[in-house]
Amino acid sequence: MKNKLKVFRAMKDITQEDLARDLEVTRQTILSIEKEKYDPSLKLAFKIAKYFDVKIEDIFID
Amino acid sequence: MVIIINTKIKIAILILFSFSSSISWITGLILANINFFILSLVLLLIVLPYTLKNFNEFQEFFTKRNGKVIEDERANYINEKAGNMGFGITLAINIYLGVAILTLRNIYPQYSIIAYVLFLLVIISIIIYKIATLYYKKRYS
Repeated sequence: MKNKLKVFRAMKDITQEDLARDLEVTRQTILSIEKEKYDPSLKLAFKIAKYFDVKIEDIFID
Repeated sequence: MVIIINTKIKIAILILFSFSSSISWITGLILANINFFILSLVLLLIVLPYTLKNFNEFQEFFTKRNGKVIEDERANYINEKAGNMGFGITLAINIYLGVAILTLRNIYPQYSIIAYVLFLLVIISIIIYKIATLYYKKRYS
C-alpha cells in the first residue's frame, strides 16, 4: 500500500529506529512499510496516524 | 521493579520445567526407558496450564529485549506465512511419498507399512488443522 510515512518521518526529523521504538515495533517493520512491502495492521496504522497527529488517509493512500 | 522481578521468576520457573522436560525425554530416548518419557510428558502437562495462565506476561518478555522490540506483528505475519507454506509442503511430500511407496508394494512389500504411517500422519495433521480452524473461527466470530 502506498504511503507517505517517510515524508512524515522526515518532517518530524526522526530516524526509523526512534520511530520504531516509539511505536513499539522493530526498525525492519518501519523500513518495510516505507518500502511498501508490508501493510501494517489497523491497530498499527492508527498508532502511526496518532503519532504524527494526522488522519490515517493522510499517511496511507489506497 | 517488583513486577519485573516477579515476571523474571515466573520465566525462570517456566524455563526450568521446560528444560527438565526436554532432558527427560532425551534421557529416555538414549536409555530406551519409557519412564523418562512419561516423566517429560507429566512435566509438560504441569507447565502447560501455568504457561497459558501467564501467557501475556511471557509473550511480552519474549518479544522484547532491554525494552527494545525484537518480535512484532510483521514477524508474526512472516511466521504465519512460513508456517502455512511449511505445513502444506510437508503434507504434499508425505502424500506423494506414501503413494510412491505403495505403488512399489509388489517389488518392496516390506515398506508398505511406511506408506500407511505417512498417510495416518497426514490425516492426523488435517484433523488437528481443522480443529484449530474451528477454534479460531469461534474465537473471532
